[in-house]
Amino acid sequence: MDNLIIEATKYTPKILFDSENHQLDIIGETYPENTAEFYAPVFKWLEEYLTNLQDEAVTVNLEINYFNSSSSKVLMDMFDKFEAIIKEGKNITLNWIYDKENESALEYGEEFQEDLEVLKLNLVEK
Amino acid sequence: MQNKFHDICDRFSDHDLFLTFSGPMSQNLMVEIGEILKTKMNLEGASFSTILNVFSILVELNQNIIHYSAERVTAQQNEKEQVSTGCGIIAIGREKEHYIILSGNIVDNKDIDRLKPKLEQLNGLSIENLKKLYMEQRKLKPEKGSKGAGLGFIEVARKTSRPLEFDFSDIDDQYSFFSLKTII
Repeated sequence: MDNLIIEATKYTPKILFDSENHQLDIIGETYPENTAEFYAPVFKWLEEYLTNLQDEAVTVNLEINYFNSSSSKVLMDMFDKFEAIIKEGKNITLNWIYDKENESALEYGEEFQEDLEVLKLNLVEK
Repeated sequence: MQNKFHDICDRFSDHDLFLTFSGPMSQNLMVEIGEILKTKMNLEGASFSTILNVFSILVELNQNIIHYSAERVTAQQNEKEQVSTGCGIIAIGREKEHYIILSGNIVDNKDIDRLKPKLEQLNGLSIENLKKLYMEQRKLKPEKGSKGAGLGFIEVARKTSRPLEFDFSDIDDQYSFFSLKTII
């Protein structure tokens, strides 16, 4: 399966989903005008990838300095997908990378964690 | 007109509003307003978290105008597609030690019954309950007619230090002017 690479803009993050090395990175800020439209190809890729995933360990790195409320919903939907496949026995590690100065990025990470059952967010200070 | 225009500008300054925009809003315009706002707040020595709070309220309110304002400009993007954006007003200023953001746009009168109780509900909630509502809402499917996640106003309420001040003033049988003031 091809990798998914989307370059960052001022209001959308860089997406680097590497199916060979099983590393999924989202880096930057996310507050698009139309969140569903921007994330449609991302979820399409992700669904296909997760369907074909065997027992490889996957690392997800999220380094998001700012997200608007509709992107917050998208992230939650993404985490729900990870939760579902972890429950099927898959191996997903998620690193929530935040800047020391950005207190709310840490708080948001903790808040997502409160809403998750089996997916653990590793809060990683940059 | 020229005299009156100066008058309008003076009135903005009288209210310590340092950044105002009125007209058709766009995503790119919002990004630029956000950039200059961050720069100005940085120069004034505002903390990282205050800048981020003001910026995130600006984004939510601007995107509300873009998506939901009843006053719209429409353009033909290509043969099949039309693009449309909402018109409104955004003003950012100071009030003593606080930053304030004002936003205004025209709404359909029939949306007031949905908006007003929602804003009143948010004003009645504690920080903890706002967080709870935000998290519950995030887990749900979006409301009908909502282009976002229905989280925008909750996010705004969470970032403010005071209750949201809002008003719907009658324009005619069909429309009203919705204005909102947030204090950070």
